[in-house]
Order: sequence, then C-alpha cells, then structure tokens
Amino acid sequence: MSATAYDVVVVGAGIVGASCAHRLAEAGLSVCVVDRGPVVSGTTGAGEGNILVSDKQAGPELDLALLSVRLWHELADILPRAVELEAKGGIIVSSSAAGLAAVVAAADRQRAHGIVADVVGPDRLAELEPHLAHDVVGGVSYPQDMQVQPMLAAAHLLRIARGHGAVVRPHTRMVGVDLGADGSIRAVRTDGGPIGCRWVVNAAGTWGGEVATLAGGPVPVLPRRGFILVTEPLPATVHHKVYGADYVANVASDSAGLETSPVIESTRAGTVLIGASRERVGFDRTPSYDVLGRLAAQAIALFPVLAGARVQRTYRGFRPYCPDHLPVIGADPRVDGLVHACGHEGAGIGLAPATAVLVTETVTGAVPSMPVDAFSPLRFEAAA
Amino acid sequence: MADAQREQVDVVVVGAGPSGLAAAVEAAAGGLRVVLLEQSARVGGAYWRHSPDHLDDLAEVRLHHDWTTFRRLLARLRAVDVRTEHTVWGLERLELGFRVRALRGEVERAPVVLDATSVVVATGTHDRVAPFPGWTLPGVMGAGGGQALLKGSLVAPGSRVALAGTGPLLLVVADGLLRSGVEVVAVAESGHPTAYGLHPSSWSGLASRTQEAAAYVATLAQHRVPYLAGRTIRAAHGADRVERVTFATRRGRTREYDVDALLVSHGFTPQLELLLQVEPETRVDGDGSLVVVVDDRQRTSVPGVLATGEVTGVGGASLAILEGYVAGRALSDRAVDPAVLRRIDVHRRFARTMHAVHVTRDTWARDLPDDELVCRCEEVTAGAVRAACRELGVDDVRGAKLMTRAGMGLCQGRMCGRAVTDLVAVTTGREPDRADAVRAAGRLPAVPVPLSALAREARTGGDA
Repeated sequence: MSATAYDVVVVGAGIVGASCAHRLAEAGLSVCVVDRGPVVSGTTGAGEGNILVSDKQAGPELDLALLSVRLWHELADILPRAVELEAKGGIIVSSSAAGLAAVVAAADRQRAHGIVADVVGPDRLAELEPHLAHDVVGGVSYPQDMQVQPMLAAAHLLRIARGHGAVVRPHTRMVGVDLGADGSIRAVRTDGGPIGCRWVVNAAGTWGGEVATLAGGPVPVLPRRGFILVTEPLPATVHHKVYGADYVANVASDSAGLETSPVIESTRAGTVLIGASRERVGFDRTPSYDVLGRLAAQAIALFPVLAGARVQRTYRGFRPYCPDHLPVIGADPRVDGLVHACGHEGAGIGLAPATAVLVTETVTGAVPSMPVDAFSPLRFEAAA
Repeated sequence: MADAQREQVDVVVVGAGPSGLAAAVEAAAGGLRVVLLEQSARVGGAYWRHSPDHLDDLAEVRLHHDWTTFRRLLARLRAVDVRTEHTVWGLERLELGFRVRALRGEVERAPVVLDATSVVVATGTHDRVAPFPGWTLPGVMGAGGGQALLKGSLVAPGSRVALAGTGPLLLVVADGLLRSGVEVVAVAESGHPTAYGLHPSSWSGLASRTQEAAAYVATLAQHRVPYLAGRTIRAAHGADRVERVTFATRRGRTREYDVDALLVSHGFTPQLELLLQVEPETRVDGDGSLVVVVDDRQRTSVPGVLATGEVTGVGGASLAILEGYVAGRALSDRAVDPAVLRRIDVHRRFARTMHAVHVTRDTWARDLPDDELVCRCEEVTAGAVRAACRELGVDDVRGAKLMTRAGMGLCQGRMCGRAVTDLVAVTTGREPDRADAVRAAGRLPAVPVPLSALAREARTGGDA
C-alpha cells in the first residue's frame, strides 16, 4: 500500500481530468491526478477549443452543453485572461438554398430547447464576416458559442486544483486497480507504484476505453482522427467561429470513412485554425495529404481571401468516439469506486465543466444537476 | 489536378550542400535520373556559399576550403537535373517510392511535385541558439550567418568583431574575417581544445584537419588575436546595437571588449523536419542533437530514404562529402571504396571527440534573466517559460510551446526549439527524452505553404 491515500485518483490530465480535479478538490476531497505523459499531452492539446451549443441537437448532450456554457462563464472569473476564453459566437453558413433551409429548420428545433439561434441573411452576414465568399446565401448565428485556448485552460484548472491541495503526477501510467475484500477500489496501480484511493475517475479521453478495461469496467471508446491547419498570423480576417452546414451532419455521422467540412476561426495570436476532418483509422498518425488538401480547399471556398495565406503547421488529434456520440459519465455499477468521465468525441473542451460537476456529485453523493442515465457506462451492454 | 505536373524520377536529393552534391553526382554517374532540389539560388550550401560574380575570384579561394573539390563536383553536376530555389515542404511515402512536394521561387511559390524511387535527405543544420543577455541586439549574429555574409556577398559583419561560443567554426570564421581585413578583437571558446590531446587516436588519421586547425591558430597568433579557452559570452551590451561584450571564465572573472559585431556559435541543430515526416529511426547524438540513424550505406530505417551529412550527426563537410559519395554509390548499386568507409569511421570518431570537447553547457539556462527572450518570433521570455514550468506543470518542450507559444512563430521552433528544451530541463530537472525531441522537431509542412498550394492536394474523388 502506498503511504498517501487520496479520496480520488483522476486518470488523465487533459481538460476533463483537470476540470474534475478542480471541482473535486474545491469540494474538499483529496485528489491525485495521474497522466501517462506530460500534462495536457492528449487530445486537449490537439483541438480548437470549441465550446459549442450550435452543433448539438435536442437531447442529453445539448443539456450538458447548456450547463457547461453557464459554468464556463463562471470559470471566466477564476481563470486568467491568458486562457483566451471568449464568447465570440458561431455562425453556420450555407452556399445553397436547400442547405440553408435545413440549417434554419434545425435552428427552429434548437430554439425550443434554450439555444439562441438567429437566422441571418446575406447582408447581415457580410457585416458579421466581411471576407465570406459571395456565394454564401445565408446562415444562422449562435451567440452562445464560445472559444478557449484549451491547453492553457486545462493547465490553469490543474494549477487551481493544486491550490486546493490536489497533487498532479505526470509521466505516471495507470496499470490497474486494487480492490478490497468488499470489491471496492482501494488503490490505483501505476508504473510508479500504487496510489491508495477510494474513487477512480476515468478521464483518459481517447484512451478511456483502455483505462476502463484496466479498471474492470469496460466501455467502448474509439479514436476518430482529425487534422487542423494553422496559418501564419493574419490581420483580422475571421471574426466568429464559421462553419459549413455539413459540419453538423458530419459530427452526428456514424461513418468510419473520411468526412470533411469547413470549420474556420482565428485565435488571439492572429493565426487562423482550419478544420475539420473526421475518420476512423485507429491511432494512425500518418499525414493524409488528401485530407489536408480538402481542408485547405474548403477554407478557400468559404474565405477566398485565405488562398494566399501560408499554413505554418498542421496537427492531428484523436477524438474519443463512442458509438452513440454521447460521453460516458457517472459511476460504474460493475466496479465500486469507478467513475467514468470520457468519450466526449470532439466536444470535450466544451463539455468538461458540466462533466466535472456530475462527477463531483457522484463522488459526494449529491443530487445530480441533470439526469445522467443517457451517459451510463452500461448502455452499451444493453444494446449488445 | 496536381497529377498533370507530376514527374517520375529515380532519385530526388534534397539539399545541395557538400553531401547532397556528392550524392547527386555519384548517383547520376551510376546512370540514374537524379533531381537535386536546393532552397537557395545557388548550389554549395552554407559551406560553399559563394557570390555568383566571383566564382573564379581569388577571394573565393581564400575564403573557402576544398574549393577544388567544389569545382570538381560542379563539373560533374551536368549529369544532374539541378533545381535551385526549390523549397521542399513535404515527403510522403507511397506504396512504391516517395512523393516530394516543393515550392518553386521565392516569390511565386509555385507547387512542384516529384515522385521518386529513392530520396536522399541532405538538409544540413541550423545554428543552435544558446541565449545570453543582449543576444537579440542588432550586430549579434550567428557565426554561420556572419560567415555567409562574408562568403555570399563579401560583406564584413562589422569592423571590430568578437567571436564566442564553441567549436571549430569559430576559428574558421575568425580566419576568414582576418583574411578579409576585419579586426578580430578576441575569440572566446567555452571548451578546452587542449582536451583533444587526451584523445590522440581520434584525430591521428586526420592530418588535414589537425593541420587546418594549427593554421587557424597560427593566423590568430599572427594577428595577435587572443583565443580564450574556457571563456563564455556573459553578455552583449549596447543601446541600439552591440557596442561591448563581456566574456567570463567559469570562475566568474570577466573581461570586456569594445566591438561593433559579435558572432556566436554554440553548435548546430540538424534539420530533421523533412525526414521525420516518414518516421525513420532516430537517436540523440553526442552533442545532444536529434539525428537520424543510418547504416554503412547511408540508408535510414525507411527503405528508399537515405540521409547524408549533418542530419546523420554533426561532423563537418569532409565527412558529409564522403557520406554523399557512399549514398550515391549505394543508390546506383556500385561498389563503395572500402577506404572511404574507413575514412568515414575516422571522421565520425573525430566528431565524437569534437562533441566531447566543444560542449555548450546549460548554465545559460540558469543564468539568463527572466526578461530576456528565448523565442524571437513570438517574443517569449525565459521568465514566461519558467513560469509555465513552475505554475502550469510544464515539463517538456511541447508543453512549453502550447502554453507560452515559444516555437509557434514563423520559424516553428527551428531556432529556439533546442534552447526551450534546455531551459525546461534546467527549470524542472526532468531530462528530455528522444520522444520529446521527435515531437519538437517534427513538422508538416517543413516550411510554410500557401493554402492554395495545399488545396491542390485534395483528391477530387474517384478517377476525376
């Protein structure tokens, strides 16, 4: 047994793990965060920092997103300006009348569930985004959408958690759990020795399936690869998060094949981030020139002025994908003490604060802020 | 679609420095169709950088070593399809062979695509940066850059010049400056070159190199230039540009010199970004640089990709030329002169000793004041990197980049990557591993590429 016993060991030092550590430590629990690599070395460091309601349809994920947006606004009070948290708003645009009609119809349904969605015509669009291509016929503006620099947000949440007594142990790989005589978790075993605890939070993102299996409560989390292009710093060109109407369909798709749709936004440094691609190819890190080319072509189609902008770097990440596109959140009835907080696909940055609240409520036995049944780790067994 | 412009060749050689030139002419001599891509307007690389108007000029002979070797290679270059002003940004593995993507011209940046059965990567090095107070002042530059100025345009970097850092390049550049009539006030060498005496076997087979070094030292003595072993650059001072420099001994004794230029060389960082795109086996060399592993025919662990020169380990031009020769012979299935292989071994042994003697210590990372820059492109200070380590849990170079933007600018960490790595290591006490180095050095594209050029890579689907 290790000398120090914690109430909770959080596995994963990405945005979800950091958010959980922050909430749990703030609630007075003793917390140890472990990560097999450096802090924020997984998918959190490979994303755009989306905090979106616009791409969610009515249902449990939207409820989680709305709770999260509220919590991100609260977090703005304790996070420094450096994390670049900004309610910049998103705009879904379409170049075809049929595409626009579909986007407008979706917005009507979303509005009934608390999303602010304003239909905008070409004139208003030209004001909001002067560099948009002229063939864009209209779109829907979502002022609740936000953006954050996800690596800094996670690192600062870990810093605040440490202020509440949490311990962060990077380069420490979980290899299993020890159970007590009553079957409940007693310790997390790591390559740096056992760490005594009562609860284990699986916040391992795309590697959450692996950690779940090691902990004895398997859940299906698969990698869904995405590439992002980053331009050189440009004078203000893209003011909101602008994305094509196909994006929502691609996010919700079950296809293993390649899907790309334009998602374009700028950062405070002036660089423009260009996504998004989705494909299920395992953890293959080989660059795909086809994907990079499609992203570039789609960005130019939406913002022709970008054609001459130079791409400084590209990066890839692996979204934690669950077959029904919903995260796994909550206690695992199969292993006393195991709590999941993984499988957020491409929405983990946005959904992290609400996930952390639900995890903390699970551990402290408080009444959950929202229904969690849809996120149950057992739902995959029922389907099988 | 880009396919229309695509060419198929036997070999693409990337980089026309000493090793790339040797590899290209040797492969072409074996009957292969060879394309040699060079980023700058002229072949020769940093080693044989020259002014086009002075190819036969005495000035060139004076400034250059192995000038006759260069002229011999140039004469044999007729068999090679040489394309200057071609910057390679992508190396992709195909089912058979490789696709090399480049941009042509400094201005038009036109996309060029070449398919090759084999690729020789001879991309050379960057100057390694070890920051010190005042290192960003105008008039402070890399010794390599100062030498390039002298060789390329016959312009002296200053009229009263000091040199600092470590390695044979300091002597070479000081010699070049003196021969061009520039006053050299002092050369601070942080290592102790007398330590070469402890490794006589490492240079015993290299008469030419020891003679060369002796000649440099003699030139310095003749001009009464102090060659100060065990001294480091403590600071450069000046209002708008460097006016004075402070050298210090390890015990902290200092001495100041009035100058109008300071040339520094703290070793080199091999340019691996292109190679890493195909994920060959790598290792950390004696000087701490990430380099690619090659066998005795310069083959990397990726079949069809060969590497020559400094990307296989910093060892100087003579070694690079021999490696290029071997790669070119191997590609054209011709026998390699065993004497050359022995000579390569001798040079590599010498390089190991050189790395041991000329060490850039990481004391700079402890001593650099918080308000000094480590990353010029993004203007990130040493203090910002230290704060990220202490407050945000950063303990690797990738984390430092993500949290502080160090290495996120136009150079993408080519210049500052090694310095940030060392600063993080000194601040946290965690030794960087090879995986850190691979993550820090790998980048696609290898150089910035216009979005319009990248857009051509989209397959339009099906046979369209």
